[in-house]
Amino acid sequence: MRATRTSFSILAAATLLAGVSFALACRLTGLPYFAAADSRSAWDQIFGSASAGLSRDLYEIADRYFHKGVGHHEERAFEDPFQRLGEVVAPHRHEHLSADAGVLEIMPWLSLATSVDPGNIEAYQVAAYWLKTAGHLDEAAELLKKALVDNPDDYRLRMELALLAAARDERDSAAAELDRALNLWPGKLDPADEEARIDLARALHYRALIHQLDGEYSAALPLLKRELEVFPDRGGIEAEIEAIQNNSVEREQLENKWHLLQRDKRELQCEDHHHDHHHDDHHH
Amino acid sequence: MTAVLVLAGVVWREMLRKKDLYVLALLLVALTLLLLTVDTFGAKNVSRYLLDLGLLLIWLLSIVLAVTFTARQIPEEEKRGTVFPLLAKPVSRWQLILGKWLGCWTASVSATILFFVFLLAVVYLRGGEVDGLALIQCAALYAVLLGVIAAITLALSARMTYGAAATTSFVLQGAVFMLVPRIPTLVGYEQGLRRSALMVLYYLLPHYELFDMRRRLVHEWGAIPWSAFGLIVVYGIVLTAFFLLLGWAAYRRKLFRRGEAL
Repeated sequence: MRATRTSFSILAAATLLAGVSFALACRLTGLPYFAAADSRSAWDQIFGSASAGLSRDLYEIADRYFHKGVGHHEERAFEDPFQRLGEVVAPHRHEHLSADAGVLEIMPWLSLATSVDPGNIEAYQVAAYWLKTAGHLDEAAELLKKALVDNPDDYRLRMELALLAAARDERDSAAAELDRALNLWPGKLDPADEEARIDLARALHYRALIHQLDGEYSAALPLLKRELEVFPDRGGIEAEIEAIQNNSVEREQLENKWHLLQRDKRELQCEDHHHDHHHDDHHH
Repeated sequence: MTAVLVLAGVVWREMLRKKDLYVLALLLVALTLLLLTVDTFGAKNVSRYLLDLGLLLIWLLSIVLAVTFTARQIPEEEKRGTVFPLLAKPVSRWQLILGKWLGCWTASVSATILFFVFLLAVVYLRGGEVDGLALIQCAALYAVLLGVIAAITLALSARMTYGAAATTSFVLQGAVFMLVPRIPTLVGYEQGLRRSALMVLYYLLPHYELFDMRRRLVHEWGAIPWSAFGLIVVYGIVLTAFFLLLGWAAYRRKLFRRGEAL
């Protein structure tokens, strides 16, 4: 009799708890936070941010490989013989890999980063840039094709395709990709984002250059004016606009710019703040 | 000395008889083959990641082997009762400790060399290259480190059961690997007692990071100066001797009775 009563009490408590949790769930899912429609699958909602974090970590490893295994500098509170000996064992000099010295060693990490999170565009861009710089144009094209399957509306991939077409001296194809990139800009990025603005300016500038090479000066003019709106302090653009308006564009100068675009020497600032110079071919 | 070598030989035979080594070797082969399937975006002769992750695997697996194998030596002798006939022979407890350590250390180092050979073969087949001198230094320092780890584990097992000694050793090795190299940075964020505690840990715990030449090897930074190498080896020998002494001190007056469950 006593056992039956205990079982009944447990059953009643369990039923009550189930009822309370159901009511709470109904209440919570009615709140604005939960009510917001999320187009992602349940799997993506749970593991999405985890995979993005892991992808960033893998990208960081690629960055460390690019710096020959040396990570970011950490400030230390004291120095002692153990650390001095440790520095002999673990290298800490700032050096980079290059197109002809092992830069492709970063590829497995970038590949893993994009496998974990196919939305990691930066990883695709870096991989495509270095494959192209190392002369693996077909592999770069293959990679970007794969990236576009997962990110069909990302203007950054179109820009990489344009630069790849330029490297192959396929001007029409580069122009078409730049037009697509300009149509897709800014995509998921904030239009006020500095990187997005720089990209827009680059796309406009490159497209204007191809127009000029094709003799379409009137088509190049609005693009350069738009670029000037994005970065009003760029005096060089003003000079270019003036040259078009005065019919004084030099063909040789345009050809030189095209050759520079083909080589795609991006001059970017190194992220390591303890290292104060700039590098060509440094896409990190 | 003969007694020590005989004891070490017994440990060797035990390792060959048990399945631990074979299971870990199979695991290494399987995981290395899995690493070969990583896409490299069509780039050829890319092997640095393979060497890097392979060395990490070797470190982990050989530490698992050294700890589990060393931790069971003394407790199992006592559990099976074989310690009584052993100590009835002209074998001192100091010789027992030294013989067990020598057997465990040389067995772990031999297994690690086999792992290294396999990994290097895979890396070479993949088109990679390794600096010979840096490789020798890397392997030698790692062998010294395994000696330290075996000595620590043996010292713990002198007064603990197999499970407790292995678990404590794993926790200790993990803490030393992950915490000690970061202490100089962490200290900057702490004040007072916490700062002092970190400093005590920094000077109390062994510095395994000194034995880790993987980064030099993988990223082709070359060998280290022999003076630094010698200093680290001496540091490792001192650590090993200290923990062996600690183990002997814990074991020399230990009392055990027949049939007493450990």
